[in-house]
Amino acid sequence: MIEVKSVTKTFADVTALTEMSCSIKKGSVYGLVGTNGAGKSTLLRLLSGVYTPDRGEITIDGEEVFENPSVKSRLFFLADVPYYIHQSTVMEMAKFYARFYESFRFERLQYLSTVFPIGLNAKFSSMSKGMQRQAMLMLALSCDPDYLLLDEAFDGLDPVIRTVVKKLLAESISEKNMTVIIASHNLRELEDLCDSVGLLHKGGILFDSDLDTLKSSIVKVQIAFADQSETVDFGGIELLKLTKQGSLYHLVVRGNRDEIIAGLQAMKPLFLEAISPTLEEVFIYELEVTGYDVEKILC
Amino acid sequence: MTSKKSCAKGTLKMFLWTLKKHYPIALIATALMAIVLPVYFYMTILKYDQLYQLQFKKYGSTVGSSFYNSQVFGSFIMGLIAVCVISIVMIVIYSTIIYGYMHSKKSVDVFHSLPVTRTQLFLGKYFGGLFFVLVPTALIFAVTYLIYRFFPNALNYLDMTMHRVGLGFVFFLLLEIAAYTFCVFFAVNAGTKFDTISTMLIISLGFPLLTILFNNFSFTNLFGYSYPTHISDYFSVSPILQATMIMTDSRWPMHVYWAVFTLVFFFLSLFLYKKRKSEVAGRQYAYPYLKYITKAILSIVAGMILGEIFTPVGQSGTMDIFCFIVGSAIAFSIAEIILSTGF
Repeated sequence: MIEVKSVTKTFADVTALTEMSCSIKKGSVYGLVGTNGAGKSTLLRLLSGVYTPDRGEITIDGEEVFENPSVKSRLFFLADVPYYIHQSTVMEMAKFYARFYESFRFERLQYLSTVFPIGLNAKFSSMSKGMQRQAMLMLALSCDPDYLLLDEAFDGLDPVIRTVVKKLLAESISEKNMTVIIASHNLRELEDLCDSVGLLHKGGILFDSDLDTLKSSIVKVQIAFADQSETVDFGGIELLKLTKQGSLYHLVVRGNRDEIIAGLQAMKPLFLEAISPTLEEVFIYELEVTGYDVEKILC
Repeated sequence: MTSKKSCAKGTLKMFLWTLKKHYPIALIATALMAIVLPVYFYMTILKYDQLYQLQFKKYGSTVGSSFYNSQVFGSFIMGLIAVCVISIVMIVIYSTIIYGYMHSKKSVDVFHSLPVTRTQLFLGKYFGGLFFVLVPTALIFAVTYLIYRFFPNALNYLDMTMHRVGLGFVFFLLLEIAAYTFCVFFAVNAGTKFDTISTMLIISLGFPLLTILFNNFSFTNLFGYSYPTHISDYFSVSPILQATMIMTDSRWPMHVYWAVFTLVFFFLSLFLYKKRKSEVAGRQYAYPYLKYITKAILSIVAGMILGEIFTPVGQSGTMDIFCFIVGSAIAFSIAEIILSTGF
């Protein structure tokens, strides 16, 4: 389990994280979303022991991360801009990591080289940005870490490879209860992979929730009534948003889906449709409720 | 016990990795040194030995042996100087490339997230670099000694005892360690490779120059002032320059001085390395004090040089000081522009 307690990190005159706290359960896939400069990469660097917090504490399974090789040997950090040793091949980088990660498995790398279209003798310098990222993902998965920290993991990957990566991550999670933290500015990429999501903004977590609970707690409803002359009273439900287009009402409602539908059915509508919102929509509604200008936070 | 063992293990991993990564450049340097000293020395002995034997057979005299001696001795000294220069250049290169990862955000992300501590990282890389610095030089010296020792007539040609040469070698190895540690100190302090090299060169060359110019200035303006007696006194914080003068001054107090110097800079570098924040990668200086020292040395030295150049002959005192101030101001402005822009 990862625990971040009141962490503050400042760079010269810029405060990247302010009194930030969150906890990430073991075996989960945690999505870190937020705009550029929100503090996502800083948090990942703090979690991987690259940075040390100015204040606060970061622990993994109860142990401090910074300057702790035993904890760091169980985690792998893949930065947003991959680094490779000059003129090195995938195999040479694998040997580099194998020297430091005792859990490195060459047979896993062999398997991954059949899954990804990259040979083990391919040079990083001759690869495209997307291929370099794939190669680094191969190395990261071969290290077989308990905690995998990915910064903009899907950046530059084509849709087929994204699906492959998601599948491989899912396999690792189910096989060895690996914890994955993915930082991204794109909510849609995380939606079908993450168990829980934290929204970072200006150095703090605005919102942190289990994805299933989050998504099932909000329902989008389209509803129309036969009698359009009367004003409809939706008093019995917790409305987050209400708009009307012609005779059709668009509602965003918080609460149990079945109970909401049952309550609205009781109003004898002419037409009723309940839709599950996307993760992006859920965030927008929740943030609007808390008074944030969503346009400025999410891209 | 376990902690010490795991520390040594992490250090060894980093040490071996450093050797693996940088050995090609060390091989090239060793080959270069081999050509300029033992190979050249051997060829010279061979050539003059043949000439000497021919002369002896034909005329039965040893006339001309002093000429042969001076030729062989000259080749030995030339080779020795060339080895010193190559070693010093390599020391600057090794310290810059081995610790170069600290100057890029991408590589810092990888190295500082590895399951090794900062101490293990520093020590592994330090000893890796030291291996490249010492082993090729020691090897070259050993081969040269073997040529000297086992070549039948070599003793006739060299009028210096090997004991003195041996002491010079030992002193040079010590200076190599001092120079390497000194350069590592700058690599730890700087934010980029350019700043590493520029700072180590400015301080290494600037400080002796500053001492020499200060002595000149004092000698001209202060009644009763006398120069230091030993040239080594000028190089007291410049092991890089001192290493090029191995045969001129290898007094035993100098051994102690450089050993202490090395230890101080080693522990200072380790301390600053551990304190150094990963986020300073790519910035000009990890610790700003070095920037001020560099600019101060550069400005004062340039000011003193201009003071020396533009002061009319026969005039000193006020004119010296005026030229010094103007020169320093100009040099400071130029240093400010160059150092704040970087490359």
